[in-house]
Amino acid sequence: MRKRLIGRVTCSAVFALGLLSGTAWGDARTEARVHFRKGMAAIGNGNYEVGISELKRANDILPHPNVIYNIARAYVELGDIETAISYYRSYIEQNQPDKEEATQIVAQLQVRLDRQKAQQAAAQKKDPVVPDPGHDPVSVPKNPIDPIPPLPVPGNKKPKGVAPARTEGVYEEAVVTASRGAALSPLDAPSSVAIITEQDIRLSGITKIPELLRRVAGADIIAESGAQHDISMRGLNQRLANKVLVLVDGRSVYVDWFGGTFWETLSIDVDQIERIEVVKGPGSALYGADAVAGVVNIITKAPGTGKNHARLGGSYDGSAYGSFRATGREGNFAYKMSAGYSRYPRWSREVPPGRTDVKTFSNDQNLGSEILRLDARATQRISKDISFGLGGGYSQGFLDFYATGLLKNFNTTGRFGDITAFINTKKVTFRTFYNFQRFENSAASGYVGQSLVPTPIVGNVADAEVAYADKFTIGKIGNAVNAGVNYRLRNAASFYTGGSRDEHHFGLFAQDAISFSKKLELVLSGRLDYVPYTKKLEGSPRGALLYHPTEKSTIRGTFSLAFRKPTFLEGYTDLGVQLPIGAVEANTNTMKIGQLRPERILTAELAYLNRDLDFIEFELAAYYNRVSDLTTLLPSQAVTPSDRLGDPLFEMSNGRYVAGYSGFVNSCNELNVLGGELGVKAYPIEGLDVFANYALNKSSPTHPAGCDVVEEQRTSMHKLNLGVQGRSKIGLDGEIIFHYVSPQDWVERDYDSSVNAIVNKSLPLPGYAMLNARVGYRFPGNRVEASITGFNILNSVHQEHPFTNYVGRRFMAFMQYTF
Amino acid sequence: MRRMIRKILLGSLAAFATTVACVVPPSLNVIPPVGIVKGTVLYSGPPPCTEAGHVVGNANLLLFDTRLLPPPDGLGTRSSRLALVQGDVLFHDLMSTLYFEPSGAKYCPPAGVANVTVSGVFELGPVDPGAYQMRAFYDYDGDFHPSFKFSNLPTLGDVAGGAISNATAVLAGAKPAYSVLTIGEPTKADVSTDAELAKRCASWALTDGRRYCVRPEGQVLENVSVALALPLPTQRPFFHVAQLQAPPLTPDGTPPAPVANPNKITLASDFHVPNANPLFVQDFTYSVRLTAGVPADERVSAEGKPFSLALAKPGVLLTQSYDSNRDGVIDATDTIIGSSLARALWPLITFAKLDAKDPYRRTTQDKPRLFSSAITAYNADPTADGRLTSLIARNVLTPEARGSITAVIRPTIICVPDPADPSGPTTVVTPYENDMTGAATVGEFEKTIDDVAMQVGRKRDGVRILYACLPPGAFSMNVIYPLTGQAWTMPNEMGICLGGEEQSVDGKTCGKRAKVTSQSTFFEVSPAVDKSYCATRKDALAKQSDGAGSPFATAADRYRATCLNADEQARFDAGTLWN
Repeated sequence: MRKRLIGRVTCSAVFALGLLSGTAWGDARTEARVHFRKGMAAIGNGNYEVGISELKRANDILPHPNVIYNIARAYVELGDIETAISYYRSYIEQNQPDKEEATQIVAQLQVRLDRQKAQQAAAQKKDPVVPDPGHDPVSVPKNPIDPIPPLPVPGNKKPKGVAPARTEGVYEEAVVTASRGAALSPLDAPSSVAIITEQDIRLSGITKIPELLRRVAGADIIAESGAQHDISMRGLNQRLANKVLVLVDGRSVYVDWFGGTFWETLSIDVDQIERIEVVKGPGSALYGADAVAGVVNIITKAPGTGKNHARLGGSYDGSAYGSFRATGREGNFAYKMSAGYSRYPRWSREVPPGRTDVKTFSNDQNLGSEILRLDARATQRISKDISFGLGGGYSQGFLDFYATGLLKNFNTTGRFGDITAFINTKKVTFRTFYNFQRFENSAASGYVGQSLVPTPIVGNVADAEVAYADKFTIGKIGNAVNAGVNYRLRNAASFYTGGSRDEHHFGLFAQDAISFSKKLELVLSGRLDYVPYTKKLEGSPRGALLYHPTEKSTIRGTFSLAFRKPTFLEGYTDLGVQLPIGAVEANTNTMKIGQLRPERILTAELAYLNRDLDFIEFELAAYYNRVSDLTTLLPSQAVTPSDRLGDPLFEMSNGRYVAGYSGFVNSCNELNVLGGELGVKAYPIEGLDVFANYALNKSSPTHPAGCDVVEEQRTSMHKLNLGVQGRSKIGLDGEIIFHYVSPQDWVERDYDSSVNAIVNKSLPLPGYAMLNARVGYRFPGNRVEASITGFNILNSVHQEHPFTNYVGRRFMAFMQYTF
Repeated sequence: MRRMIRKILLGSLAAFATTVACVVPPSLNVIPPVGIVKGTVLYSGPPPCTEAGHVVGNANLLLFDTRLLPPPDGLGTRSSRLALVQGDVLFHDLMSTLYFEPSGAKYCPPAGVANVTVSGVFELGPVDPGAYQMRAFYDYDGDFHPSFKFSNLPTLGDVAGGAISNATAVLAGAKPAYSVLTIGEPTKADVSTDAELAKRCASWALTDGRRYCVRPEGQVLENVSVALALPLPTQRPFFHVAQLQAPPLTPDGTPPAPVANPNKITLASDFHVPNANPLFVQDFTYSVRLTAGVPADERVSAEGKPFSLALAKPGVLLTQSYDSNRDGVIDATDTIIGSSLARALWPLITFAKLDAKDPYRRTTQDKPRLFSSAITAYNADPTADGRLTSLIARNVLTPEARGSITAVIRPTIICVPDPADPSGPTTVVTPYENDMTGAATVGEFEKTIDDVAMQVGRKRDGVRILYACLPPGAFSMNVIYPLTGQAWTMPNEMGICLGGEEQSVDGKTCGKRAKVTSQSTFFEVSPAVDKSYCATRKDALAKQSDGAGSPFATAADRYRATCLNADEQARFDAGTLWN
C-alpha cells in the first residue's frame, strides 16, 4: 500500500516534471528566438550540423520564412546542395517578396548539383565501389571525390550564390500601429504599446475580443451585457465609450454615429486574429480624431498563412461559438475565408419573466447577442514590390448594449460590413474602404405607457488614403519617413439626429523617425485634420525621444496632443427623452444649445522598457494627461416662455409636451490625470510564462470659477493582472489569469422621482476580482484539440458599471479540428 | 498519460453536452414592478378647431394621488402623472369631416354646431402604488402646457371630465364623483426588512398600517373609462393686484394711503392686529384689491404670444357663496375659518409658501406646506372695495361677475409638515393671543380648530394653535374657483425673467418676449419689527407642553418641526429666524 502510494506520488511528480521539463515551452516566440540565436551562433562558428539542428527546432516551435532561408543557406555552406535546394524551395513557396532572387539561387544551385552528380557518376564508372556485405553500409566510405566541393571563397567573401543570412527581426516582436505601417520593435515605438499574441488568444480560451484586452496594463474594460463591452485606456471610460480608435488591419471600425465600437459585430472572430496591437495614449498624430485614449489594431492572419480550422464551442447557459477558416495560395494569389457564429446570453435580466407592466423590444430577454459573421479577403502579388488586395466582411444579428445619459439598456438588430481594397508598392500604399451599418435601435424594455425610442440607423463611411514611406540617410542621421493624405465621407441617418447628414473629412499626416545613432532616436509625428462639424483645422502633434542604454532597452519620453471630434449623436442630437411623469419629455438637442468643441488631451509620458534578458522583460511607464472639453450632458434646463414664442413646445411626432432642454456640451472643468503602469513578463522555467501588471490612475479635476460640476473618477484607481501560461510536450496547455479592479464612484444622470427631476447621482461601485482559466489538450497529430474555458470561475458576481448587467460565471467547452 | 488526459477531457465534454440547457440569467437590478393604467377616453362635445393641417389640442389626463388632490379638495400642487391622447388621434375618424383652412390658419367651428362623439385609447405608466383619481380635460383652444403657471390649467371652453362614476349627473350640474383607481393591494408589509417588497409597495402606510403593494409581475388596471363632456363655463380667474391697503398702527390710528399696483405685499412676522373683531377686522389688517385681468398697458402683451391669455373685456372675477363645510348645502353654516359671523365666498384666496431655493418663485415649498387663507370680500358697488360686513348674512347662490374683489389678509399661517400624510399634525400660528384692545385674536377657538381640520383634511385632535411670530418667507397668491378647480397664481412666469431670459434695461422684456410686470407681485412675511417679542414667544413655547397625545414634547418642538424647513430650523435654533 505504502509502496503503491509512494509510486503514485513519484509518478505524479514525474508527471509534473514531465509536463514542464525538456525543451523550454515558454512563450513560443521567446523560445524559438533562443534556439534561433544558438543556431546562428553555431553556424557562425562553423558548427553547421548543430546550428542547423537548432534552427530546425526554432522553426518547429514557430515557423518563420527567414529561418527556413537560413537553414537552406547553412546547408549550402555545409555542402549539402540537394537539401539546401529543398529548403530554398520551401522558402519560395511562402511567396516572400524576394522569391525571384531565391528562385535564381535555386537555379544556380541546381546547376552545381547537376554538375556534381555528373562528376560523381563519372567517378563511379571509373572506380566502382562494391559494398562489403559484412560491413554496415553506412560506414562505407564516401566517394573519395567530395560530393559537394565547397565553393571558392576568395578572402572573406561569402560563398558565391549564397545571399547573406537573415537575422534582423526574426522572432522579434514588431508593431505597426504605433508608427502607422512601418514595422518597429516595441523598443523603437514612440508610444507605449502592448501586444496580445496568437498564443495569448489561444491559451486564454477567450472568445470575445475586448475581453482579451483586460490583461493589458492600463486598459479599462466594462463588460456591460452578455456580449458588449466598453473599452478605454488610462481612464475616461463610459457607456458608449468613444475614445479608443479600433482598427482591423488598419481599417477603422468606429461606428461614427455614436462614436464607439460594436465589438461583436466585427466580421472576424478571435480565431482569425494573428495579434492585437494596443497603443496606449493619444494616436491622433497619425490616425486623426477619435484616437484620444489609444488605438487598438486587430491584425488578422494574412491570406495564405496559417491553417484551416473548424471550431465549435458551447456552454450550459446557452452560449455558443463557431468558427471556420479556409486559406490557400496559388502562386502569387492568396486567399482566406472565414465564417463565424456566436451567441451569448445576458449575464442578468432586468425584466423577470411574466411581467405585465413592461414591454420589451425583443421577446427573448435572456439573449445578450447573436451574430453571424462572414469574411473573405484575397491578395495578388503583381511583382516583387507590388501587391493588390480586395476583400469584404459582413455580420448580422442582435446585440444588447447600454446607451448613455438617461438612455440605459438598448437593443439593436442589424447588418454591418465592409469592402476594402488596397495596392501596396515599395514606397506607396493606396487603400480604400467602405463601411456600412444598417440597424434598428430601441430601448430594450420600458414600462407600458413609455416609449422605447425606436429608430432605424444608417451609417456609411467611405475612406480613401494614399501613404508614402521611405528611408534615407542625411550624413550619419537615418530617417524613416511616413506621410499620407486621407479623405473620409461620413454619413449617418437616424431619428435621434434629425435625419441624414454628411460630413467630408480631410487629413494630412507625416512622421519622421530620426536615428542620430544606435542609441538615440527622435520620432516626430503630426497630423492636420479638417473637421466639418466645427469647420476648422485641428492639429495633433507628437514628439518622442528614445534613448537605448543597451541594445534591448529603451528610455522613452513622449509628448502629444490629440482631439476627439463630436460624433453624430453628440453633435446633432435631437431626441426627446420621455420622463416618467408621462406625456412630458426633456428634449436633448445639442444644436439648440450650441456647437460642441472637440475634446482635447495633452499627454506627457516617461517610460522604461527592458528586454535585455531572454527570460524576463519589464516595462515601467508614468504619464500625465490633461483632458479638457470633455463632452457631457447638460443638466436639463426647464423651458421658458421665450422658448414658446416660436415653438408650441409640443412634439407632434410622439405626442409629448417638451418641458426641458438638454444636450451635449463641453464640460467646464479639466481633468488632471496622473498614472503609471508596471508590467513584468517572465519565463522562469521551461513551459511556463508568468506575467503581471499593475496600473494606477488618479484623476483630479480643476474647476474654473463658476464651474460647478459633480466630480467623478472615470476609472478605478488600481488595476492588477496576474497570469500564468503553460505548454507541455504531451499536448496539455492552458492559462490562468487573475484580474482585480478597485472600487470606483460613477456619476450618472438619472431621474429622481422624489424631486421629479433629472439629477446627477453619485453611484459607488465596489471593486471586483475575477479568475479566468483555460485548459486544453491537443490530440496526437496536432489536428484535434479539446478545451474548456472558465470565465469568472470564482463566480464573483459584480457590475462593471452601476446600470449594466451583473457579470457572473461561464464555462465553455470547445472542439477544434485543424486541417 | 495521453490516454488518461484524453479520457478526462472527453469525459468532461460529454458531461457538458448532456447538461446543456437554457439557463435563465438571474433577475438582478430589476425594474421595480409598477402599475399601468389603460383605458379609453370618450369625448362628447363640440368639433375641434384645426390649424396647419392638425387638430388643435389634446385630451389631457391627470392622475392625482388621493392624498394630494388639487385645491380646493386637497393640498396637491401638481398631478402625479400626465397621459395624453393627441387630438389628431382622438378625432382620427372624423378628420375627413373637419374643415382645414387652406392657408393653415386656425379655424374653429361656430357656436351651436352639433356635438361629436369620439374615443381614443390611452396607456399611462409607470404609476407607483397608491390610490388615485383621474381628472381630465380636452384642451379645446390648444393653449395648455404643463410647464407654466399661465398655461397649466384648463380654460374657458375646454371640455372637462375624468374617470367619474356619475357622468350623467355631472351633465345635469352635479359635482363629479371621481372613481378611485387603486394600484396595488393593501398589504401588511414590513418594508423595513424586505428590500424587494419595499420596491413594489407605497412608501407610505395607510392609517391601519397596511401599504399598497403591487404584485411582483406588475399590475395593469384596464378598462378605465374617462369621459369628457363638460365644456367649462368659466375662464381662469386672471387677476392682478391693483391696490394694497395697509392698516393703522393702533386701534385709534389713521390708515395710510393705499398703494396702487404694489409689486410686493408685506406682512411683518410679528404683526399685531389692532382689533380682531370680525365686524371690524378688515379695517385693522392688510387688504388687497384684486382686479380681473391685467392693467390696461399690459393687455396687448398678455394676449399676445407666448401667453395668449383670452382676457375678457371687461375682465371679470366670479363670486359666489362657498360650501365651506362641504355638506352640499349653502347656508349660514358656510362661514369663513374661525368665525361664524362672516360667510365664505369664492373664489378662494390662499397664500402658499414658496420654495426659497427657487430664485424665480415658481415652486411651492413641498415640506412643510405653509399657507394662509385670506377672506374674500366684495362690494355691490364695483368701484368700491369689498366689505366683510356686507356679507355677514347673505347667500349668493349663483355666480356674480365683478371687476374686482378684495382679499382680507389674516395674520395666520397654517403649517402642514407633510401634505401627503393625512395622519400628521397641523399647526396654526398667529403672532398674538390678544389684539391691541385685549380681545382674543382667535375668538372662536374650537370652531377654528374644526375649520382648519376640515380644510386640510385631518383629524382635529392633531391641530394646535400657537401664538408666535409667523414663519418668514415669500408666498404665492392663488385665486381658485372651487367648482371647476380653475385657478390663477402669482407670481408667475409672465412677470419673471427665467434663467436664460435676460431682462432688458427698461425692464419690459425677458429675452425675446414681453414681461408682464403685474404678474410678479408676491406676498411676503417679512422679518419682525420687534424681534425681542419673537424671542419671548419662542421661549414661552419651549416651556409650553404640546398636550396629551401629541408627538411633540413642547409647543416649540411642534413649531420647529411643522412650520420650518431645515435651513429655517437651524436659524430658529440659533435665534435668528425673525431677524
